[in-house]
Amino acid sequence: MVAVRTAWAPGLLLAARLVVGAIFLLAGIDKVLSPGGFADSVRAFHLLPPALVLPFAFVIPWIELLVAVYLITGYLCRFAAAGTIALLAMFIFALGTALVSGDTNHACGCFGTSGDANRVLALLEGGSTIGWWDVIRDLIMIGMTIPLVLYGAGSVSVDALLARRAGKQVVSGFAPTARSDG
Amino acid sequence: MKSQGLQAPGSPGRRLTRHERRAQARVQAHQSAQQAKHRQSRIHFSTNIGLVITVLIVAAILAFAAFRTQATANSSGGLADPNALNAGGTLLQVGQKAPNFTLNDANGTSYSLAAQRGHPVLLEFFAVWCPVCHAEAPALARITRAYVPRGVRVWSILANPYGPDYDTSNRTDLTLATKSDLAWYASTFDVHHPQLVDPKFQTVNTYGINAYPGLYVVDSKGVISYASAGRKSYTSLSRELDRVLAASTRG
Repeated sequence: MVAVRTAWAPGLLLAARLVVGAIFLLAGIDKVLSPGGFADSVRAFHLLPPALVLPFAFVIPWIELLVAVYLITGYLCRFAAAGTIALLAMFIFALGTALVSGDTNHACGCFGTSGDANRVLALLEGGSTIGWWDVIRDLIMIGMTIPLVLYGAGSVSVDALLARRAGKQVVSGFAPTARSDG
Repeated sequence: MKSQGLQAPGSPGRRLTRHERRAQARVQAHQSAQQAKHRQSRIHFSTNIGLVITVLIVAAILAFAAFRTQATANSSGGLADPNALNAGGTLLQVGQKAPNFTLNDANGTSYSLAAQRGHPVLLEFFAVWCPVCHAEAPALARITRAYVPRGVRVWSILANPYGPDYDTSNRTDLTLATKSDLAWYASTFDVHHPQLVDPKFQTVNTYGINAYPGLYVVDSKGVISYASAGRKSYTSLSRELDRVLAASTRG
């Protein structure tokens, strides 16, 4: 496979990791600190059996934190990116279902309750009810995460550090796992 | 036989034969493959260790979630099952028949909506932790004092399982509301009307409570005449009760 190398590719991969990772980190922290609040948000979607709402509200924020830490550090980046896409796809399904059914008169809960206090998260949250912005925002994040699945974490990452220590040549650009010099 | 300018090791000056060059190339290729294999195995090893650790972390998260869920459900003295709450519905429509229910208060006294025909009923779906419910309480206390003597029933129904510290703890304290929490609420907020408990939230879910307090007025014929979520003033509630009382007298 031929490597696609550009000078700006490592920076883009790093930026994508940091942006998506930071968003998941902030959202995850708030949800971890307020599991009941997140459970209330999940209940409002009416997608899960009530008995599964609390376990879900306890699990998902920690998974978000896990993928956030992996993305930011660039450790097991492809797996973390794939997990991130799976989470975002799940969120899009829930948001899409609410939008199609018209059950939008409740908060997204995407960023816990931080939207009230944090301006950046308030901007990302987009309002106190569900709207198409929520879906578009998650699609943009998926778009930012796909290159991480395809090309890995880039040169500034724990993955690259481990590869260097193992003696493997680190690819600094958009380069899939195997590459030739042609 | 053409030489390639290579010399046989240990034999200065002698050029390698084609056979020797091939043998040397094979050895070099083998060594290179071995080195690549070794590098790959080191990378795979670190990746596998990382995956194993990740799986262990996920397993720990699942165990933590199961433990917290079970601990919440098993809170001693809890009046309602948190795993039965299905909040976020849509309020019932004004003009439709109010679904019947029979609920007990914390002391076991039974209250049936169907048995209240001839009496308007004001229903408040509340949570002990809910600040808006706390703010609404003085208006409800006033309504109770003014309208219960005129035949109106005022009932509050516990619509959320969690105790008084749920909101102030940023919804981290999932301790369930108890009988003593209801008593605390009644004494703190001057509640002198029945506080009913819906242990499986069947009535709460049926009435589509999506915010606290959820307020309904059911007229003397058992029809919903008023439905609202959030804080309402004494004036707006009293206006509605005056209207249904007048209609009841006419009817």
